Amino acid sequence: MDDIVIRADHLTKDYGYGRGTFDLNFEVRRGEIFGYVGTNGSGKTTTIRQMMGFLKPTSGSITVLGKDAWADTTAIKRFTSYVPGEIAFPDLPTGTEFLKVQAEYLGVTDMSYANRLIRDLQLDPSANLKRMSKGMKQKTAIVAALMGDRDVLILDEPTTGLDPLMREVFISAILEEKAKGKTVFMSSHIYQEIEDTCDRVALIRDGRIVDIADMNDIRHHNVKTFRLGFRDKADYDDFRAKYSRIEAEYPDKLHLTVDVDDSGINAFFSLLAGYQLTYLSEIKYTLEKHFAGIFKGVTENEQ
Amino acid sequence: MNNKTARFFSRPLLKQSIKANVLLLILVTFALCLITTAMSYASSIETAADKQIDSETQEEFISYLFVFSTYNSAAGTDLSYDDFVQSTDKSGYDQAFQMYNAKAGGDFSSEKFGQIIDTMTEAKADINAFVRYFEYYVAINGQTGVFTGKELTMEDCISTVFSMMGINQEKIDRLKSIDIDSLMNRMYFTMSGLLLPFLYIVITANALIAGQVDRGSMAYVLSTPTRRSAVSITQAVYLAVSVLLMTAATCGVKIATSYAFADTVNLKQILTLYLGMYILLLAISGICYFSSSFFNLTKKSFALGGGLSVFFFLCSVIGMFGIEMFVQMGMGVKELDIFNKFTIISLFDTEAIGTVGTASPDYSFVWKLAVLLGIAVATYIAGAVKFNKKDLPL
Repeated sequence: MDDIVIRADHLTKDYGYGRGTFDLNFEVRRGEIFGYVGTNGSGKTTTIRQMMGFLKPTSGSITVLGKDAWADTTAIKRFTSYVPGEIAFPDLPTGTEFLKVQAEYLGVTDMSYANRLIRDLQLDPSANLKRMSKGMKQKTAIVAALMGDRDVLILDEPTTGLDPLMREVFISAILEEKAKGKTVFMSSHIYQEIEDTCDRVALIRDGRIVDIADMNDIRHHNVKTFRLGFRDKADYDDFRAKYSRIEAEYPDKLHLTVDVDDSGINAFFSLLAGYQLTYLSEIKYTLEKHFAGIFKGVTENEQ
Repeated sequence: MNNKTARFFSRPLLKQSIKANVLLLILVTFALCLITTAMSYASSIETAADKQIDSETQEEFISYLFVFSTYNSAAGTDLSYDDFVQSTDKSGYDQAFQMYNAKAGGDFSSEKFGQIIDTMTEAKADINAFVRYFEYYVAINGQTGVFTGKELTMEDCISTVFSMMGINQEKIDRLKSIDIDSLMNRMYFTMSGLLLPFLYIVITANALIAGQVDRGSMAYVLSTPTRRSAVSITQAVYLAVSVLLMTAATCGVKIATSYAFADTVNLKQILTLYLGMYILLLAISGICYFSSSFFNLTKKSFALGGGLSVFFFLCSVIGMFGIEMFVQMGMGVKELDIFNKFTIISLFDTEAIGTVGTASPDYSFVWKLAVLLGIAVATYIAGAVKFNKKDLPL
């Protein structure tokens, strides 16, 4: 079986005035959680709408399970679940009613999985759909999507409106889906949840993919960053002169930020042994930092 | 798991559409049925009051009064209509009739006069007015004018009074010739009866597609194995069938109340009128359906579908004051007829349909209804095709 579940091939949707998505190329592999990060208006939702067959690409294509997302969209829907970015429910009285109708659309007859999701997310579906809080609506939408038990989950900012506790519950639900072998495509502008769940992450800016990062590279980055505090100015100056990879200096506090390669870690600590330190702490390499670095590179190139 | 895809029709979507829109349908249908009942009742009173006693009976009645008055002046009796009705002993009258029959030849009798009175009472004719008319007639006829010396007649007296009030004979004749039923049909089927169905169609057509696309709730349907064609066909079916049910219910009430209130019912004509109304509403719903399918924004969909419907309706209202009947009544201006050319409502020719079931039916309404049906089919198909091809912001 083809291991590529979603493939964007020069996918372009040009709305004019520089808006839209341009020349997107990415692949989502079976069983992985693929994060899609970008600021508001960067083109995340436009990408997902093309993936769902709601928008026809201007040029290029996007396929899901080998089928064209525009032409064969209905065939694809038998294997996908979707949480839209904007939660607007149909004109139905209660959440229960909505989930029942949705089950019918999806051809779901056994509601036990849906009921488990409802319990896990602590959702009260009997509430009036229109009076639900944002979080409640989001939970309802998540249940409506996940209950289909489909192979591919396409989630557009699924955690909007969830409180931190519920976000945890949601993330564990997503990880559980992954454990079942499902493929997840998830957009977000919150780095934290992407870091906690995703295997690979694409960064989109102004409609173009800037970088696709492997979370393993980020979690196990081979350059570590430390912040050091020195007891006196002499030590501070001396170290500064001797060590080459200094990232930032804070002379009034006698602090330094330094990069250390994993291979040079022993040499680094041997060197440190000769100084009087007040503290040492590792600054974790995060996705945000990674992308900030790429952004910096992109902007410098543009200039 | 059932993994069927809905290609042409989606049952859950139909259920959802019914749940979301049926209340408005029921309210509008209920209101239409009430209005129809009231109209049937009003027109039954109208026709009863309007019922003309044939002039033969009138003349006969007057001639009996003439017999009374001649006999009274000859024999010194006081026979009168009031007395005839009240008295149980008709011998005095029988005597008068016998004498008159013998002298002038005729077949006057108490029984016949009784029958004439019954006929007139049944027709709710104001008998006392006839009696009073006769009194004036006797008093005026044969007299001559003080200035002209000309003989004065009752007819001249009446037209003189009217012309002093600014009403000429021509107008009176025209008013008499106006067919109240035809006027009521025109008013109901091209104006008052359309307002509520139009309202229903504009709101519902909008809610069925554009409303859900604009809000984004359509995503929940289209993210399932439901084809867009299934969505457009299901929603079209809901719209067309709900309008059919509304029209059929109103038509049923019309027929039932007509049988309840009126003596004669022109069933063929009623059925044709409501069929025509349905085809007109179908064309309007097609326009609204197209506009709802074409636009992603509710406000734009409303602007086209609702705007056109309101425009057609207003043109029909203004154009009404240009039709012959209104011009004849002195309530319209012929030039306003041009507005009837701007509205598809005038393709629903109630005047021609009014001739159905009469001796000389005018079938010119058929091709006009065919045009309306054509509009309906074209707009529904165009709407569905557009919806299947366009970009959806979901």
